[in-house]
Amino acid sequence: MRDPIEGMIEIEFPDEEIAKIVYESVRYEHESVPYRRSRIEFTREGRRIKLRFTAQDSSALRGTLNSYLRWIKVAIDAMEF
Amino acid sequence: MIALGIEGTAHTLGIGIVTEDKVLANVFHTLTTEKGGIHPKEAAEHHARLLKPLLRKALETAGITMEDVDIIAFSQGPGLGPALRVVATAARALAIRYSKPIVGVNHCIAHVEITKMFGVKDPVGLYVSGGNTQVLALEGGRYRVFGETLDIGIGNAIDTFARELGIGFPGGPKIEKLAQKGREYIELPYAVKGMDLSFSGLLTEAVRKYRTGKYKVEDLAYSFQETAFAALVEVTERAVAHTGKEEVVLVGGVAANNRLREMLRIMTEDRGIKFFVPPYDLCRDNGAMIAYTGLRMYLGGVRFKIEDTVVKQKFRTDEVEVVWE
Amino acid sequence: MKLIAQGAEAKIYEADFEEVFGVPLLKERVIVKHRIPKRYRIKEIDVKLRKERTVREARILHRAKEFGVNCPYVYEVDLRDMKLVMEYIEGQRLKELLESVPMEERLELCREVGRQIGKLHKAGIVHGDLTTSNMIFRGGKVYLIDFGLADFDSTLEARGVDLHLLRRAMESTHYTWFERGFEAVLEGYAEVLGEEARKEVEEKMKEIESRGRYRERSWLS
Repeated sequence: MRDPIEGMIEIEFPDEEIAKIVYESVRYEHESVPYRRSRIEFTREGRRIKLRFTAQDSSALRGTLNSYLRWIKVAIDAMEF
Repeated sequence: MIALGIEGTAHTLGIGIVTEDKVLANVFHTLTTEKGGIHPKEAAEHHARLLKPLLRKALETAGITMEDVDIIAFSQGPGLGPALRVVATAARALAIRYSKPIVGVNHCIAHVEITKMFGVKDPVGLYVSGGNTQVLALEGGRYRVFGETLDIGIGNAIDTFARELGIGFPGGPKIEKLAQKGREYIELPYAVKGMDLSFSGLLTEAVRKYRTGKYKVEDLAYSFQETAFAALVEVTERAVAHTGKEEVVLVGGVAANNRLREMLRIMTEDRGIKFFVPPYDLCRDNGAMIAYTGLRMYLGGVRFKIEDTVVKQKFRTDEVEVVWE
Repeated sequence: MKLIAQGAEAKIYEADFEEVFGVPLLKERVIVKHRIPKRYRIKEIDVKLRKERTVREARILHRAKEFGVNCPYVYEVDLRDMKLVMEYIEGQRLKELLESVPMEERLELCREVGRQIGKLHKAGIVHGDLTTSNMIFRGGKVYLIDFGLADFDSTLEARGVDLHLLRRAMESTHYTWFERGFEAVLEGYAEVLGEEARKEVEEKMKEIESRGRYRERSWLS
């Protein structure tokens, strides 16, 4: 069955170095997330990080997206010292 | 060397900065909820929100910058998945951004390891907190568990009982105070099951007796503590007898309880061995113990690749090879 | 009385029968197991636990005897001082004996160990600390001793753990041949409880091992 919800979030960072650190920090969480009711592709292209997602319902999607955004935020926060 | 450690296995986010023999900073914040209980998502949200301010506070307290830090340590497990993932992500970002080595630390082991900063050498540890209750000691190159709870942690049992009595959260200090006024022992089910512990039967029966309205709350609190703690001390003493170790340490949030301390002091006195409880801020969940354990691991030759930093929700105490001793 | 061992909860003495009972009724020496009071716990709990455990150990030994298990006779249950006086099984520990005899004899001894455990489990009892240090060879028979951790429990889980711990103990003390030895234990076990029971318990043991974090019991001895 095809997932009814599809979408993409693109985050642009000031430079590639920062994008790379964020990507590398979050990658291992992304790789160890089991597929449940939503699926996310997590990629980096230059200074852009892309989250491409599909989900069966919006509540499942919300939970998953929250996790990714939380990790990204934490990685950014950790760099500002 | 200077290590920075992040603790976040449960409801407390803690950041500690230590050297081989000193705590330079140890700051924390705990998510508290009206009703108590376990909240993985809220804990993750809490940790993510407070990471930055706590990091800043820790660095300020220690009077250093990230450049001065030599290694990054983090609590890799066991604990709540979403909370662990936030902490691991933060630790990776710090390690990559500032090019520092990273070390994943077992939370339960860290509770015991921190006592070594105070000259403790090779103890039997009684680790008692909300979610965990464990007797552990080093044997054959690993921390082995000589007894643990089969159901709920002792801290959890006490808090649940306190809530039932309507005296609020966290219940530990309040139950302790009530217990001091108790005189009459009310029989409750003993909590030792073979070599392990189980507190759910004790809790259920204490609650049932309270609801009958026939007993004084002071007596119930007293009996609850006496029964639960006797079991904890018994399992600890067995581990001591078996291993022949000459030190006992009491760690974890419930270590604040004076009656439990007293019972362990008597047991160790009667066996002619030493007893130690670290300062409370190093007993409860905290970042300094993670930093210190990570530092000891690193100095002992433990190295992590970034891909080794995946969280372990069910991280077993005896999984870790203690090569740093 | 001579103190021969001290665990966390009891002191074990060796004594003359006459020394303990005042009359030279038996020539044999006896074991006195004294569960000592603990100052750290309140008296109500202390007395209750010591009493319960002393009574339970005596009951277990009694029932095991009824089911034909070779184990010590209980001579006295003293619920004032919480002492158990029992037969001293004087012989060779299997731990050393097994290493000093040829393979054929070893395996026969192991089969007998299996029969003893089978009878014990048939009685609805698990030993809780099966090691070849807790088995004595006397007068052509294998005796099981030290029932301090034994319990009335006829669940498959408890039986599986009991045998699993024996296997682990044999693995560390008789590592060169423990696999054949344990196989012989299971053969003896099946003679008493049947092939079906053996298969069940073997499967249970596999499950216990695969759980990874099985609970160690052998350290308690």
